[in-house]
Parts: sequence; structure tokens; C-alpha cells
Amino acid sequence: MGTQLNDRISVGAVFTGGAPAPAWFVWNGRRYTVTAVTMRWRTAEGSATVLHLGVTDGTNLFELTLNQQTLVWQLRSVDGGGGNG
Amino acid sequence: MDERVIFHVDMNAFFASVEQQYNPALRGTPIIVCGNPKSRTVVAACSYEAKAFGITNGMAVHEARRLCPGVRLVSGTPEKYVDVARRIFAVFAEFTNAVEIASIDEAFLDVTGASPFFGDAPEALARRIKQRIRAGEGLTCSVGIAPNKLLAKLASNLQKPDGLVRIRAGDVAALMARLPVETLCGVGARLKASLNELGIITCQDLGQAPEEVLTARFGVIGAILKQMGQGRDDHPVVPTQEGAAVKSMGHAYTLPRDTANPGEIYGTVLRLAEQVARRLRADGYQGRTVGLTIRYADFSGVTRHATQREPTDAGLAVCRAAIRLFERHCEPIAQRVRLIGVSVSGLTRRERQLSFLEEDARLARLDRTLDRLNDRFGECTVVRASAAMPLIAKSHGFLLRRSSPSRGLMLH
Repeated sequence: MGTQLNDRISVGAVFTGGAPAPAWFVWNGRRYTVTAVTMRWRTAEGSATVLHLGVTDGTNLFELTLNQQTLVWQLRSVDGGGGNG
Repeated sequence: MDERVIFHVDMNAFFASVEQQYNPALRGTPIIVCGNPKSRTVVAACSYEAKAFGITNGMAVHEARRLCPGVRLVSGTPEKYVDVARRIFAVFAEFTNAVEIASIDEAFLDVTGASPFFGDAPEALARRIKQRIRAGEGLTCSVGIAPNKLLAKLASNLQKPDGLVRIRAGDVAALMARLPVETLCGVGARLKASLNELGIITCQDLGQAPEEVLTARFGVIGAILKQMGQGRDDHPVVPTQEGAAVKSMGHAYTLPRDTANPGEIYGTVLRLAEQVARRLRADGYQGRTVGLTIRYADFSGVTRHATQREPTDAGLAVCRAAIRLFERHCEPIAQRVRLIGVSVSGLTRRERQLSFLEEDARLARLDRTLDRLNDRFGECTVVRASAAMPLIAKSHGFLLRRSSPSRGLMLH
């Protein structure tokens, strides 16, 4: 678990068959290039389905979410690697 | 009749493997998945790298850290595991309709008819399933293939991780002769000790033991144990969508610190009771028997049940029954409490009957309103105030919560 956030971000993503694959995102004015999507999972937040994506820029691990009702992207956490050990 | 072909698919160190897949920096390192690492918690799952240090599931985290000081702690994310498991079960369903989900990380598949349909031998079919899971999720699993569920589960345990073992009918006698009884599913440490006292060490010993000796010692399960020792099991794979009936629902919670504070204890009992009742309503069940489990700081504990006159799915009714159990069996509070659990069993499908009591009807409306609010805005957005306040409020007040507790709004 890294630093927990709830920051709105801009994301460039390719949608293939309805599944978004983020290519890059901008957070705090800096653009990050996504090199891999490590995991996808869905949760329900009230009546909205939220898609969670683990993505990495090769250095850090980010958890992005897409609220499929509001279509808002958020950055939920940043992890420099490793756990809480 | 042709021999059945049953698969038992067991995901290897599932929660830990999902976390290692999610976070590439954790791959190849000892990790444990637990509750909030900053609070007292136990190991829910551990990676194979952690198992190599002697860490096991259920171990206290401080003990795991003693065994492996460099172990990484990862806070578990149940939603992540459930969603990954759902995708894996969907892969199984592509190969056979007979998929019995045994738990979040294991399932039985009856592929008796499916194997020829796909033009593959069972082993090749198993490899295709393993490859699909690895390609889709990056995860490995062990597959046991056998003529029945008992042996299929035994087979999947014989080779981990990433195993594939087939037990054919002709192999069973030789296998039973060399495997110790505890390799059979359902034979735990206490049963193993009892069997060993009777001179039963291997599965073969169990299969050859006189049934009357086993029945005299273990009662009605004696005959079943003998069958298990012979590798026999006629239980069918029951597709989960057809569903065996749910027997009970419950929630348990380890407190952030041991406490003898009645307000904290009662508040937790109430919150757990509300959660259980909400699940009952969501799944269309009612139950007659309410259970309460209290575990104390020294790990001793009590579990008590009370059967109600009528089945219920009402939050307040479950709360009241759980509180009565606590008052009757746990007061005065003898020592600090570590864990609290509330369950409801004796479940039946809900049959909505109109109550002549206005109070019952009013509380049912209240529960439905709470459910709608929490469905729309998220779990625990609105909870009974008595479950959130440090001391029990006997009123039916409510607490409206937002994401920040400091912005909470109390409604009485």
C-alpha cells in the first residue's frame, strides 16, 4: 500500500472492447507514460461501478480509477515499490 | 459406466500471488497479506517465498516478522481478489457447465463429458486451463485430476505450486498405501492424532480398519472415514449456479486493541449484527438462530447461539438477540475482548409476511430505506447511531457519515 490519494487526473487511454488501457496520465502537471497495466478489478461505490487499474511507469506503481457513471478518472495511490514492510 | 473425470483447481497462494501480480516490485519476495498492517492482525495469506521461512496462514504478524524480518506486509483488498476470482471462474465455465466453487481460490470441475468434446486428454485440457489463467491473470494454479472429488483435491495438493497430477483408478491402492491419513481432506491435526492412537497411520490403514472400530470411536462418520481411506467418494460436482443452500452468514472483527469498554464492545456487536442482517436481506434470506462469538485477549473464547421464535432479517432483531447473548454469557466482562463475531444460521428463503405489529412494519420500512441509501451511496453511509457511538444509544437515532468522519452528521 502506497500513499493514498483521491486526485482527479487527465488520462489518455485506448478503449479496446470497452476495456480502457491507459497510455499516459497527467498528475500535478507532470505527464507519466504507462508502460504496463498490472491488474484490473471492479468495485461498487453506491450505484456506480468503479474500474480500478494498477499501472506502472516502470518505476512507480499507481492505482487509477475510472468511475463508469461519472467518467471521472482519479489517482488513488502511488507506491514507490514494495509493501509496508 | 465410464470413469468420471474431476478436476480440482487450486490457485497457488492466491491473495499473495494477486498482490505480487498487481505490484511487480513484490514478485519473488516474501510477502504476507493481512489486515491493516498498522493494527494487530494475522497472516491471511503468504507468498511461497514467505512460506519458505516457516510463515503460515493464521499466524500473528509479529511472529511472521520474527521468522522473516524482511517480509513485506500488504494490506488485503478483498474486492481485488473477488474480481480476479470471478474472471478465473469464467474461464472454467468455458470448458464445462459443472463448476462447483469451493472457495474464492478453489473449484471442482466435472469434465467427464467435456474432455472428448475439446479433443483433448484430461491432462491436455488441464494444461489449457492453466495456460489461460496464466495468460489472463499472470497466476499459477495446481490441478488435480481424479475419478472423484476427494482424490482430485488430494492430487492438487501433491504438487505445488503450478502442479498437474492425475490419479487414475488403477493408481489408488498404491497411493493410499504410502500417503499418511492427514493428506485426506477433512483429516485435521486432532482427527489425525485420534487415528494414530488406533494405529492408523496411512490412508490404506484407514481403508482397511474395521468399520465397527471406527464407528465406535468416531460415531456416524466412521463409515465415511473408511470410504475415504479407500479413496472412494460419490459426491457429485454441484454447479454453484444451481447452488447448495446457504447455511449461515456471519461477520467477525478483530478490535484495534483489546478492550473491556462496554460501549466499544456493544457498538461493535451492533454494527456486525446490522451488516449480517443487511446481507440476509440482500440475498433474500431470513434466519432463526443468532450466534455470538467473543474471543478474549488470551485467545480463549465463547460462542453461544439463541434460536428465535420467528426467522428474521431485521437489523434490530439480530442486534437485540446478539446483545442478549452477550449480557447472558459474557457479563460481567471478565477480561479484555480481542475479537467479536455475529452470525445468523438456520436460514430459509424469505417469505414476506405482513406483521400485525406497527412497530415491526415500521422497522422493516426503516431497514429497506437504509438498504436503499447504502446501495446508492455506498456501504455504511448510514448506520444506526448506537453502532457508531461510544455508548449505546437506546434510541433509534442514525448517523449520516461522509468520507471524512469529522464531517459526520448525527440524526436523532
